[in-house]
Amino acid sequence: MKSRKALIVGINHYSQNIGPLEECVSDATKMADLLSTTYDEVQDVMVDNFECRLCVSDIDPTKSEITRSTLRKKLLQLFQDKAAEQVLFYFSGHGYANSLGGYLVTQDAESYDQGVSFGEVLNLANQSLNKEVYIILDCCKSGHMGLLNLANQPFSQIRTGVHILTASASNQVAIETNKGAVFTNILCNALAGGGADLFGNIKFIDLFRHSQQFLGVWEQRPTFKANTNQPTILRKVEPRIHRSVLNKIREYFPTESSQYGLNRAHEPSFELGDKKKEEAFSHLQTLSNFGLVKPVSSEHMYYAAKHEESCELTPFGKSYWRQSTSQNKG
Amino acid sequence: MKKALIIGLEEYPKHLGKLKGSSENAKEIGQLLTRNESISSNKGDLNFDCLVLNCNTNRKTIINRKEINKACKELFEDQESDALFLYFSGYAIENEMGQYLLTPDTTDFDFGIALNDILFYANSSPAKEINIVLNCTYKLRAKKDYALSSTLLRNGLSILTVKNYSSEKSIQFANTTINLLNGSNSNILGHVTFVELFEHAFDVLSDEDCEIHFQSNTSRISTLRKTLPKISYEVLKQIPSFFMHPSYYYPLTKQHIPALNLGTEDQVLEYKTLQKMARFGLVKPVNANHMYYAALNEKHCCLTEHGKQIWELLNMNRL
Repeated sequence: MKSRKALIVGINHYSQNIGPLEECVSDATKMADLLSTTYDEVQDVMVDNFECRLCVSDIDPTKSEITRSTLRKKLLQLFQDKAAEQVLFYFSGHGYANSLGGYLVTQDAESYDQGVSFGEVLNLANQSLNKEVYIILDCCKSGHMGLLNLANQPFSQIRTGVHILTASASNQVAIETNKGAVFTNILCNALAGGGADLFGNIKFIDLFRHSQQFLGVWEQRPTFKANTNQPTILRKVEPRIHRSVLNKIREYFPTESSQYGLNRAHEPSFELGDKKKEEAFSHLQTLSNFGLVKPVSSEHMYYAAKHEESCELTPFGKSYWRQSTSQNKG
Repeated sequence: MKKALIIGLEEYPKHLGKLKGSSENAKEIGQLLTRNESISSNKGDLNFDCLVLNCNTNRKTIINRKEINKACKELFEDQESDALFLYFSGYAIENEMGQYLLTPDTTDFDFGIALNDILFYANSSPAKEINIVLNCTYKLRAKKDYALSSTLLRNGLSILTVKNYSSEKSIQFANTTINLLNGSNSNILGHVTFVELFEHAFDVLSDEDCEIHFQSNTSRISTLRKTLPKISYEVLKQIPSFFMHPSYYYPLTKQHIPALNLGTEDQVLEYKTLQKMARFGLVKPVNANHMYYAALNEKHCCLTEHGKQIWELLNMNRL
C-alpha cells in the first residue's frame, strides 16, 4: 500500500499588525476533508486517501499556535517521513515577499523575521526522499515559491517528482471572500469532482487547469511548476461515464484489439426488438461519444450498425482497457 | 503571433539506420498545427506559422547542424511572437558531456545539437509561452542517468521529453500527437492543450521502452490547436435555461419521452437536448439508471459536477 501524507495548514489568527484573516482555517479544513478520501471503483465506496495532519490556528494561542519553529518542525516531519511515498503540503494564510524571496507568514512573525521562507520549503522538497511532492500555497505573493533569483531573472529549478501550485503570481495578492479564498474554493470544487476526467481521476495538473478556467486574465493568476514523469492521481470520484457502461468494456472487447460486430438489430430505429443488443449498442454509443470506441470504417456508429460493420477501441479506449485490467488484478 | 518549428529527421548514417516515419509525421504535425479545425474541411483559422524541416524529396542536401541551429535561433529570438512551439523527432544521445539531439551529419564527438543550447535559447527568448516536445530515440540506454533531473526553467516554458528505446515507440508517440491534434481526446470544447499531450502520451505509451518526462513553469496552459467541440455550443448554452442554478433538479415527465407520443413537440425536443447533455456526462438522472426511466417514473435530472462547472463558466461568460 502506497502511503500518502499531507500537512494542511490554515492560519486566521494573526496580530492586528499583520491583520487577521477569516477563511484560512475553514479552507484548510475543507481541503483536508476532501484529500482524506478517494473513490474506490471496485467497492464503489469512498476509501482512505491522504493521511492528513490538519494544523490550524486557534483564537487561544495556548491551544494551537503556528510559529516559525512549529511550522518548520512539521515540515521537516513531513518531508523526512521515509514511509510516505507521496506527500502534500497545503498552506493558507498570509504570504510576504521582499528582495530575498517569499515567506509563509507565521503567527509570531515580526519585521525582518516574517516566517518560514519559500526557499526553505523548496530545499526540503528538493531534498526529500518522497517520490512525489505536492505543494499548494494559497497566499499572497505565492508565485515566488519554487523560483530562484539568478542574475535578477526568476527561474524555477525543481527535482523530478516535485509539483508546485500557487494562488497568485509572485507580485500579486491572493483574494479572500466571505465564502473562503477564491483559489481554495476553486481547488475544492475541482477535488469534489469538477476537475475530474472521464474516469473520475483528479490529477495535480487538473487543479491548475481548473483554476485557470475559472480565473480570468484580470484576476489573480495561479502559477504551476512541475518536474514530473508520472501524472499521479490525487483523488478519485465516481467516473463520468456510468460504471455500468465502463464495466462492460471488457465484455464487449475481450482483448484490446477485439472488434465488436454490429448489425441492424443493435440500432433501435430499425425496430427489430432485440432489447439486449439495443442495450449493448447504447453502451457502445456512449463509449464512442467519449472517444473510447469508434466504428472500424464508417463515420458513425449508426451507419456501422446499418451496414453491419464492426467497432473497435480507439487508442484512448485501449489505454483505458489496459488500466482497467491492471486495476482489477491489483 | 504563433510560430512553430517542426523537425522530423529520418536519414541518418548507416550505424544508426533510418528513423522511418519521422519525416512524414513531422509534415503532418506541421499541417495540423497550421490551422484550427473547422466544419468546412480545409479552411480553419490560422494557428501556428510552421516551418517544417524534414527529409522531403525536394531536398538536395541532408539537413545539417547548421541549418537546425539557425532555425532554432530564428524561432526563439523572434521579438514579435507570443507563443512558440518546437517539435523534434530524431535520434538522441546522452553522455558525460550532456544530451544531444543527433542530426543527419552527426559524427563522433560532434553529435548534433546540444540540448543545453536549446534550453539556453528558450530561457532567453522574449516569447511569452514556449512549449517544446522532444521525441527522442536512443540506440543505447545510457549507463547512468546523465540527464539533469532539475532543469532551470523560466516562466512560460514547458518541455515534454519522450525517451524512446525503440523506433516504433517514436512513431507511436508521433501518431498519438497526430490523433490528439485531430481532436481524439480533446476537452468538451475541443481545445487540445500541451498538458493533455503529456497526460495522453503517458497513458498510452509509457513503459520500459518509453520514458516520458514533463517539466513546466507556467501560469497558463497553452492550447496547441482548436478542434470542433464534441457537443455544440448551441446545446451547451441551453444548460442555464434548463437549470436555474447549478443544483437545480429538472423535473422529467412521461410527456418527455418521444416513443410514448404523449407530449408536445417542445417537450420531446427538451428531452432530446437533455439526453444529449446526459450522453456527454453533463446531466444525470436522479434516483434512476437512465434518463428514460427517470422520465417514465416522473423523476428528476440534475447537473453532474462537470455540468455544474460548465454552468458556472457559462454564467461567468468564460466559454
